[in-house]
Amino acid sequence: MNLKQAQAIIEALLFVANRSLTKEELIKIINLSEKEINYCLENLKNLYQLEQSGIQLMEVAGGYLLGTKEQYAHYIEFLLGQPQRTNLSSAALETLSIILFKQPITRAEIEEIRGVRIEKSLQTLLEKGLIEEIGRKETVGRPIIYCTSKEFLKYFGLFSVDELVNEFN
Amino acid sequence: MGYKIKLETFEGPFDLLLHLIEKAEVDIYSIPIAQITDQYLDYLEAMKKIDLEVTSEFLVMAATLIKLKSSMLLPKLADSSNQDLEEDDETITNNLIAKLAEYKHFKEVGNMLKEKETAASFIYYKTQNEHFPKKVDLDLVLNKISLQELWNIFMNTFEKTDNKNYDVQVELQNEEIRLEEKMIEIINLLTRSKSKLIFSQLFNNYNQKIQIVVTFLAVLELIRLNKVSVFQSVDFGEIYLSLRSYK
Repeated sequence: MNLKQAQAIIEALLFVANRSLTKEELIKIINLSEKEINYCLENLKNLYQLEQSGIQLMEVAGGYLLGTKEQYAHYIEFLLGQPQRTNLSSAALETLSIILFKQPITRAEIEEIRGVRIEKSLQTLLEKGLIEEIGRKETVGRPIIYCTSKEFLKYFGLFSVDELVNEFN
Repeated sequence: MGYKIKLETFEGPFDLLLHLIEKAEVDIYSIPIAQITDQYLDYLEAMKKIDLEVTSEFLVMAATLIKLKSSMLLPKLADSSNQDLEEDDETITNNLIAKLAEYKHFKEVGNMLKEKETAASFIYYKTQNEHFPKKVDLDLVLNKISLQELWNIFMNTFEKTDNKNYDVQVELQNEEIRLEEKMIEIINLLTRSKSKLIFSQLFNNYNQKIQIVVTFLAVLELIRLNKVSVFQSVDFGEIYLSLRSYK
Protein backbone atom coordinates (compact mmCIF):
# COMPACT_ATOMS: atom_id res chain seq x y z
CA MET A 1 0.00 0.00 0.00
CA ASN A 2 1.38 3.38 -0.88
CA LEU A 3 0.79 6.50 1.15
CA LYS A 4 -1.71 7.92 -1.32
CA GLN A 5 -3.90 4.88 -0.83
CA ALA A 6 -3.49 5.10 2.91
CA GLN A 7 -4.58 8.70 2.83
CA ALA A 8 -7.63 7.71 0.79
CA ILE A 9 -8.50 5.00 3.30
CA ILE A 10 -8.19 7.40 6.21
CA GLU A 11 -10.43 9.86 4.39
CA ALA A 12 -13.01 7.10 3.82
CA LEU A 13 -12.89 6.07 7.47
CA LEU A 14 -13.26 9.63 8.68
CA PHE A 15 -16.11 10.15 6.26
CA VAL A 16 -18.26 7.38 7.76
CA ALA A 17 -17.29 7.86 11.39
CA ASN A 18 -19.68 9.73 13.63
CA ARG A 19 -17.14 10.07 16.41
CA SER A 20 -13.51 11.06 16.50
CA LEU A 21 -11.10 8.31 15.48
CA THR A 22 -7.91 8.04 17.44
CA LYS A 23 -4.51 7.68 15.85
CA GLU A 24 -4.23 4.26 17.49
CA GLU A 25 -7.43 3.11 15.81
CA LEU A 26 -6.21 4.26 12.42
CA ILE A 27 -2.88 2.50 12.93
CA LYS A 28 -4.68 -0.69 13.89
CA ILE A 29 -6.98 -0.62 10.86
CA ILE A 30 -4.48 0.48 8.21
CA ASN A 31 -1.42 -1.20 9.65
CA LEU A 32 1.06 1.56 8.97
CA SER A 33 3.50 3.30 11.28
CA GLU A 34 2.50 6.31 13.31
CA LYS A 35 4.84 8.43 11.24
CA GLU A 36 3.13 7.40 8.03
CA ILE A 37 -0.33 7.96 9.49
CA ASN A 38 0.75 11.39 10.68
CA TYR A 39 1.96 12.20 7.21
CA CYS A 40 -1.39 11.18 5.69
CA LEU A 41 -3.38 13.16 8.26
CA GLU A 42 -1.26 16.22 7.66
CA ASN A 43 -1.80 15.89 3.91
CA LEU A 44 -5.53 15.52 4.34
CA LYS A 45 -5.65 18.52 6.61
CA ASN A 46 -3.87 20.66 4.04
CA LEU A 47 -6.13 19.38 1.30
CA TYR A 48 -9.25 20.43 3.19
CA GLN A 49 -7.78 23.80 3.96
CA LEU A 50 -8.03 24.65 0.29
CA GLU A 51 -10.71 27.12 -0.51
CA GLN A 52 -12.70 24.71 -2.65
CA SER A 53 -13.27 22.37 0.27
CA GLY A 54 -16.19 22.81 2.67
CA ILE A 55 -14.83 20.30 5.14
CA GLN A 56 -12.15 20.56 7.77
CA LEU A 57 -10.20 17.94 9.63
CA MET A 58 -10.79 18.56 13.32
CA GLU A 59 -8.64 17.35 16.16
CA VAL A 60 -11.34 16.68 18.70
CA ALA A 61 -11.84 14.46 21.73
CA GLY A 62 -8.50 12.72 21.49
CA GLY A 63 -8.81 11.94 17.80
CA TYR A 64 -9.74 13.07 14.32
CA LEU A 65 -13.14 13.99 13.00
CA LEU A 66 -14.46 15.60 9.87
CA GLY A 67 -16.55 18.70 10.38
CA THR A 68 -17.92 21.35 8.11
CA LYS A 69 -16.26 24.74 7.90
CA GLU A 70 -17.73 27.42 10.15
CA GLN A 71 -18.37 29.88 7.37
CA TYR A 72 -20.83 27.53 5.68
CA ALA A 73 -23.00 26.90 8.75
CA HIS A 74 -25.66 29.18 7.34
CA TYR A 75 -26.13 27.02 4.25
CA ILE A 76 -26.23 23.82 6.25
CA GLU A 77 -28.92 25.29 8.46
CA PHE A 78 -30.84 26.16 5.35
CA LEU A 79 -30.78 22.49 4.42
CA LEU A 80 -31.29 20.93 7.86
CA GLY A 81 -33.36 23.66 9.41
CA GLN A 82 -32.35 26.05 12.14
CA PRO A 83 -30.79 24.22 15.04
CA GLN A 84 -32.17 24.79 18.47
CA ARG A 85 -29.21 26.71 19.73
CA THR A 86 -29.80 26.19 23.39
CA ASN A 87 -26.62 27.58 24.76
CA LEU A 88 -25.66 26.63 28.27
CA SER A 89 -26.65 29.06 31.01
CA SER A 90 -23.87 30.83 32.85
CA ALA A 91 -24.78 28.75 35.92
CA ALA A 92 -24.23 25.56 33.92
CA LEU A 93 -21.00 26.92 32.46
CA GLU A 94 -19.67 27.79 35.91
CA THR A 95 -20.50 24.33 37.18
CA LEU A 96 -18.90 22.77 34.14
CA SER A 97 -15.73 24.85 34.57
CA ILE A 98 -15.34 23.62 38.11
CA ILE A 99 -15.83 19.99 37.09
CA LEU A 100 -13.38 20.49 34.25
CA PHE A 101 -10.59 21.65 36.54
CA LYS A 102 -11.33 19.68 39.66
CA GLN A 103 -12.53 16.36 38.32
CA PRO A 104 -13.36 13.91 39.74
CA ILE A 105 -15.51 16.00 42.05
CA THR A 106 -18.67 15.64 44.13
CA ARG A 107 -21.72 17.87 44.08
CA ALA A 108 -21.03 19.24 47.57
CA GLU A 109 -17.50 20.22 46.53
CA ILE A 110 -18.83 22.15 43.54
CA GLU A 111 -21.46 23.85 45.67
CA GLU A 112 -18.76 24.91 48.10
CA ILE A 113 -16.94 26.74 45.31
CA ARG A 114 -19.97 28.26 43.61
CA GLY A 115 -21.65 29.22 46.88
CA VAL A 116 -25.05 28.07 45.63
CA ARG A 117 -27.00 24.88 45.13
CA ILE A 118 -26.33 23.32 41.76
CA GLU A 119 -28.89 20.52 41.24
CA LYS A 120 -30.39 22.16 38.20
CA SER A 121 -27.21 22.87 36.31
CA LEU A 122 -25.88 19.42 37.18
CA GLN A 123 -29.05 17.92 35.74
CA THR A 124 -28.73 19.94 32.52
CA LEU A 125 -25.13 18.88 32.08
CA LEU A 126 -25.99 15.23 32.66
CA GLU A 127 -28.90 15.39 30.21
CA LYS A 128 -26.67 16.91 27.55
CA GLY A 129 -24.13 14.19 28.20
CA LEU A 130 -21.39 16.73 28.92
CA ILE A 131 -20.58 15.18 32.28
CA GLU A 132 -20.73 11.63 33.59
CA GLU A 133 -21.12 9.95 36.92
CA ILE A 134 -18.03 7.83 37.25
CA GLY A 135 -18.53 6.30 40.66
CA ARG A 136 -18.74 7.17 44.30
CA LYS A 137 -16.28 8.76 46.65
CA GLU A 138 -15.31 6.53 49.55
CA THR A 139 -16.28 8.99 52.24
CA VAL A 140 -19.29 9.42 54.46
CA GLY A 141 -22.46 9.13 52.41
CA ARG A 142 -20.54 7.81 49.40
CA PRO A 143 -21.41 10.81 47.20
CA ILE A 144 -21.47 10.48 43.42
CA ILE A 145 -18.39 11.81 41.65
CA TYR A 146 -18.56 13.59 38.30
CA CYS A 147 -16.20 13.96 35.37
CA THR A 148 -16.42 15.62 31.98
CA SER A 149 -17.30 13.27 29.12
CA LYS A 150 -16.02 12.71 25.58
CA GLU A 151 -19.13 14.52 24.38
CA PHE A 152 -17.93 17.52 26.36
CA LEU A 153 -14.76 17.67 24.25
CA LYS A 154 -16.76 17.35 21.04
CA TYR A 155 -19.32 19.93 22.11
CA PHE A 156 -16.65 22.55 22.72
CA GLY A 157 -14.37 21.40 19.91
CA LEU A 158 -11.53 20.46 22.23
CA PHE A 159 -8.84 17.84 21.84
CA SER A 160 -8.27 17.02 25.49
CA VAL A 161 -9.01 18.25 28.99
CA ASP A 162 -5.30 18.72 29.67
CA GLU A 163 -4.87 20.96 26.65
CA LEU A 164 -7.57 23.28 27.94
CA VAL A 165 -6.45 23.24 31.55
CA ASN A 166 -2.88 24.05 30.49
CA GLU A 167 -4.15 27.03 28.54
CA PHE A 168 -5.08 28.50 31.91
CA ASN A 169 -1.89 27.77 33.77
CA MET B 1 -48.83 46.21 39.98
CA GLY B 2 -45.53 47.32 41.32
CA TYR B 3 -43.02 49.19 39.25
CA LYS B 4 -40.20 47.38 37.61
CA ILE B 5 -36.57 48.03 38.26
CA LYS B 6 -33.99 46.67 35.95
CA LEU B 7 -31.86 44.51 38.14
CA GLU B 8 -28.98 42.39 37.07
CA THR B 9 -29.26 38.83 38.19
CA PHE B 10 -26.38 37.02 39.78
CA GLU B 11 -25.50 33.40 39.99
CA GLY B 12 -24.98 33.55 43.72
CA PRO B 13 -23.43 35.55 46.54
CA PHE B 14 -19.91 35.25 45.11
CA ASP B 15 -21.09 36.46 41.74
CA LEU B 16 -22.75 39.49 43.28
CA LEU B 17 -19.77 40.26 45.47
CA LEU B 18 -17.41 40.01 42.55
CA HIS B 19 -19.60 42.37 40.57
CA LEU B 20 -19.56 44.94 43.38
CA ILE B 21 -15.81 44.68 43.73
CA GLU B 22 -15.30 45.17 40.02
CA LYS B 23 -17.63 48.14 40.08
CA ALA B 24 -15.61 49.65 42.92
CA GLU B 25 -12.52 49.14 40.76
CA VAL B 26 -10.49 47.53 43.49
CA ASP B 27 -8.82 44.20 43.38
CA ILE B 28 -10.21 41.34 45.40
CA TYR B 29 -7.25 41.31 47.78
CA SER B 30 -8.08 44.75 49.15
CA ILE B 31 -11.84 44.82 49.45
CA PRO B 32 -13.29 47.93 51.10
CA ILE B 33 -15.46 45.82 53.40
CA ALA B 34 -17.68 48.62 54.75
CA GLN B 35 -18.56 50.01 51.34
CA ILE B 36 -19.08 46.63 49.74
CA THR B 37 -21.23 45.44 52.63
CA ASP B 38 -23.57 48.41 52.25
CA GLN B 39 -23.89 47.88 48.52
CA TYR B 40 -24.44 44.17 49.02
CA LEU B 41 -27.28 44.84 51.47
CA ASP B 42 -28.77 47.46 49.12
CA TYR B 43 -28.87 44.86 46.42
CA LEU B 44 -30.66 42.37 48.65
CA GLU B 45 -33.23 45.08 49.46
CA ALA B 46 -33.77 45.69 45.77
CA MET B 47 -34.18 41.97 45.20
CA LYS B 48 -36.91 41.85 47.82
CA LYS B 49 -38.68 44.82 46.28
CA ILE B 50 -39.08 43.10 42.97
CA ASP B 51 -40.06 39.85 44.62
CA LEU B 52 -36.90 38.04 43.74
CA GLU B 53 -36.33 35.29 46.20
CA VAL B 54 -33.38 36.10 48.41
CA THR B 55 -32.02 32.65 48.97
CA SER B 56 -30.27 31.58 52.12
CA GLU B 57 -26.89 31.61 50.40
CA PHE B 58 -27.20 35.37 49.89
CA LEU B 59 -28.15 35.80 53.53
CA VAL B 60 -25.21 33.79 54.84
CA MET B 61 -22.86 36.01 52.88
CA ALA B 62 -24.64 39.11 54.18
CA ALA B 63 -24.14 37.88 57.74
CA THR B 64 -20.46 37.29 57.13
CA LEU B 65 -20.00 40.75 55.65
CA ILE B 66 -21.88 42.44 58.49
CA LYS B 67 -19.77 40.62 61.02
CA LEU B 68 -16.57 41.75 59.33
CA LYS B 69 -17.82 45.29 58.98
CA SER B 70 -18.94 45.59 62.59
CA SER B 71 -15.72 44.28 64.01
CA MET B 72 -13.83 46.77 61.87
CA LEU B 73 -15.84 49.58 63.44
CA LEU B 74 -15.01 48.47 66.95
CA PRO B 75 -11.93 50.09 68.44
CA LYS B 76 -9.04 47.74 68.54
CA LEU B 77 -7.95 46.94 72.06
CA ALA B 78 -4.41 46.30 73.02
CA ASP B 79 -5.78 43.76 75.41
CA SER B 80 -4.57 40.30 74.54
CA SER B 81 -7.96 38.73 75.21
CA ASN B 82 -9.19 40.24 71.97
CA GLN B 83 -6.34 38.78 70.00
CA ASP B 84 -8.23 35.62 69.20
CA LEU B 85 -11.24 37.49 67.93
CA GLU B 86 -9.19 39.62 65.61
CA GLU B 87 -7.34 36.68 64.26
CA ASP B 88 -10.66 35.02 63.72
CA ASP B 89 -11.83 37.93 61.60
CA GLU B 90 -8.62 37.83 59.68
CA THR B 91 -9.17 34.16 58.91
CA ILE B 92 -12.72 34.85 57.79
CA THR B 93 -11.54 37.64 55.49
CA ASN B 94 -8.74 35.54 54.09
CA ASN B 95 -11.07 32.60 53.48
CA LEU B 96 -13.52 34.90 51.78
CA ILE B 97 -10.85 36.33 49.54
CA ALA B 98 -9.50 32.89 48.69
CA LYS B 99 -12.98 31.68 47.79
CA LEU B 100 -13.68 34.78 45.74
CA ALA B 101 -10.43 34.37 43.85
CA GLU B 102 -11.25 30.75 43.12
CA TYR B 103 -14.78 31.62 42.06
CA LYS B 104 -13.48 34.38 39.83
CA HIS B 105 -11.18 31.93 38.11
CA PHE B 106 -13.99 29.52 37.33
CA LYS B 107 -16.22 32.32 36.14
CA GLU B 108 -13.50 33.24 33.66
CA VAL B 109 -13.18 29.63 32.56
CA GLY B 110 -16.95 29.61 32.11
CA ASN B 111 -16.79 32.69 29.88
CA MET B 112 -14.05 31.10 27.84
CA LEU B 113 -16.15 27.94 27.46
CA LYS B 114 -19.03 30.09 26.30
CA GLU B 115 -16.90 31.48 23.49
CA LYS B 116 -15.79 28.00 22.52
CA GLU B 117 -19.37 26.80 22.64
CA THR B 118 -20.44 29.47 20.18
CA ALA B 119 -17.50 28.82 17.89
CA ALA B 120 -18.10 25.07 17.91
CA SER B 121 -21.80 25.47 17.21
CA PHE B 122 -21.02 26.54 13.65
CA ILE B 123 -19.33 23.27 12.84
CA TYR B 124 -21.48 20.33 11.85
CA TYR B 125 -20.59 16.69 12.18
CA LYS B 126 -22.05 13.49 10.91
CA THR B 127 -24.59 12.46 13.48
CA GLN B 128 -25.31 8.78 13.11
CA ASN B 129 -24.29 5.61 11.40
CA GLU B 130 -27.52 3.78 10.73
CA HIS B 131 -26.31 0.65 9.03
CA PHE B 132 -23.81 -0.83 11.36
CA PRO B 133 -24.45 -2.70 14.54
CA LYS B 134 -22.31 -1.52 17.39
CA LYS B 135 -19.03 -3.33 17.30
CA VAL B 136 -18.09 -4.85 20.60
CA ASP B 137 -14.52 -4.33 21.62
CA LEU B 138 -13.62 -7.69 23.10
CA ASP B 139 -10.39 -6.40 24.59
CA LEU B 140 -12.41 -3.86 26.51
CA VAL B 141 -15.11 -6.27 27.62
CA LEU B 142 -12.70 -9.01 28.65
CA ASN B 143 -10.23 -6.60 30.17
CA LYS B 144 -7.10 -8.58 29.26
CA ILE B 145 -8.41 -11.93 30.45
CA SER B 146 -6.97 -14.73 28.36
CA LEU B 147 -9.07 -17.49 26.86
CA GLN B 148 -7.49 -19.98 29.28
CA GLU B 149 -8.42 -17.83 32.26
CA LEU B 150 -11.93 -17.43 30.95
CA TRP B 151 -12.22 -21.20 30.61
CA ASN B 152 -10.99 -21.67 34.18
CA ILE B 153 -13.49 -19.18 35.51
CA PHE B 154 -16.24 -20.89 33.59
CA MET B 155 -15.29 -24.33 34.90
CA ASN B 156 -15.02 -23.09 38.47
CA THR B 157 -18.44 -21.57 38.32
CA PHE B 158 -19.80 -24.67 36.72
CA GLU B 159 -18.42 -26.92 39.43
CA LYS B 160 -19.66 -24.67 42.17
CA THR B 161 -23.22 -24.60 40.93
CA ASP B 162 -23.49 -28.33 40.64
CA ASN B 163 -21.10 -30.89 42.08
CA LYS B 164 -23.04 -33.86 40.81
CA ASN B 165 -21.65 -36.22 38.26
CA TYR B 166 -22.60 -35.16 34.78
CA ASP B 167 -22.55 -38.67 33.40
CA VAL B 168 -25.48 -39.72 35.52
CA GLN B 169 -28.73 -39.21 33.79
CA VAL B 170 -31.16 -37.48 35.99
CA GLU B 171 -34.80 -37.68 35.46
CA LEU B 172 -36.47 -34.47 36.32
CA GLN B 173 -39.57 -34.87 38.31
CA ASN B 174 -42.25 -32.33 38.42
CA GLU B 175 -42.57 -32.34 42.13
CA GLU B 176 -45.64 -30.68 43.33
CA ILE B 177 -45.39 -29.00 46.66
CA ARG B 178 -48.49 -27.65 48.18
CA LEU B 179 -48.47 -24.62 50.35
CA GLU B 180 -51.05 -26.14 52.69
CA GLU B 181 -48.94 -29.25 53.23
CA LYS B 182 -45.89 -27.18 53.92
CA MET B 183 -47.77 -25.11 56.47
CA ILE B 184 -48.92 -28.23 58.29
CA GLU B 185 -45.38 -29.56 58.17
CA ILE B 186 -44.03 -26.42 59.81
CA ILE B 187 -46.73 -26.47 62.48
CA ASN B 188 -45.88 -30.11 63.19
CA LEU B 189 -42.22 -29.34 63.45
CA LEU B 190 -42.93 -26.53 65.88
CA THR B 191 -45.28 -28.68 67.94
CA ARG B 192 -42.74 -31.46 68.16
CA SER B 193 -39.88 -29.19 69.14
CA LYS B 194 -42.11 -27.66 71.85
CA SER B 195 -40.15 -24.45 71.64
CA LYS B 196 -38.74 -22.10 69.05
CA LEU B 197 -37.20 -23.09 65.75
CA ILE B 198 -34.43 -21.30 63.93
CA PHE B 199 -35.78 -19.95 60.68
CA SER B 200 -32.76 -20.82 58.55
CA GLN B 201 -32.87 -24.45 59.68
CA LEU B 202 -36.20 -24.84 57.95
CA PHE B 203 -34.34 -24.78 54.69
CA ASN B 204 -31.55 -27.19 55.58
CA ASN B 205 -32.95 -30.18 53.80
CA TYR B 206 -34.03 -28.44 50.67
CA ASN B 207 -32.04 -27.74 47.61
CA GLN B 208 -34.73 -27.18 45.06
CA LYS B 209 -35.60 -23.59 44.51
CA ILE B 210 -39.32 -24.28 44.48
CA GLN B 211 -39.15 -25.99 47.87
CA ILE B 212 -37.37 -23.04 49.40
CA VAL B 213 -39.86 -20.64 47.90
CA VAL B 214 -42.88 -22.61 49.10
CA THR B 215 -41.40 -23.00 52.58
CA PHE B 216 -40.86 -19.28 52.79
CA LEU B 217 -44.38 -18.59 51.57
CA ALA B 218 -45.73 -21.02 54.13
CA VAL B 219 -43.96 -19.14 56.91
CA LEU B 220 -45.37 -15.86 55.69
CA GLU B 221 -48.84 -17.35 55.49
CA LEU B 222 -48.60 -18.74 59.02
CA ILE B 223 -47.53 -15.34 60.29
CA ARG B 224 -50.45 -13.73 58.53
CA LEU B 225 -52.85 -16.21 60.05
CA ASN B 226 -51.42 -15.46 63.46
CA LYS B 227 -50.40 -19.06 64.02
CA VAL B 228 -46.74 -18.40 64.27
CA SER B 229 -44.72 -15.52 65.58
CA VAL B 230 -41.21 -14.56 64.61
CA PHE B 231 -38.57 -12.58 66.37
CA GLN B 232 -34.97 -11.63 66.01
CA SER B 233 -32.67 -10.62 68.85
CA VAL B 234 -30.01 -8.75 66.87
CA ASP B 235 -29.96 -7.12 63.47
CA PHE B 236 -29.07 -9.63 60.76
CA GLY B 237 -29.05 -12.35 63.41
CA GLU B 238 -31.02 -15.56 63.42
CA ILE B 239 -34.77 -15.35 63.15
CA TYR B 240 -36.75 -17.59 65.49
CA LEU B 241 -40.17 -19.05 64.94
CA SER B 242 -42.56 -20.12 67.64
CA LEU B 243 -46.15 -21.24 67.83
CA ARG B 244 -48.56 -18.56 68.99
CA SER B 245 -50.47 -20.93 71.24
CA TYR B 246 -47.33 -21.63 73.25
CA LYS B 247 -46.97 -18.06 74.28
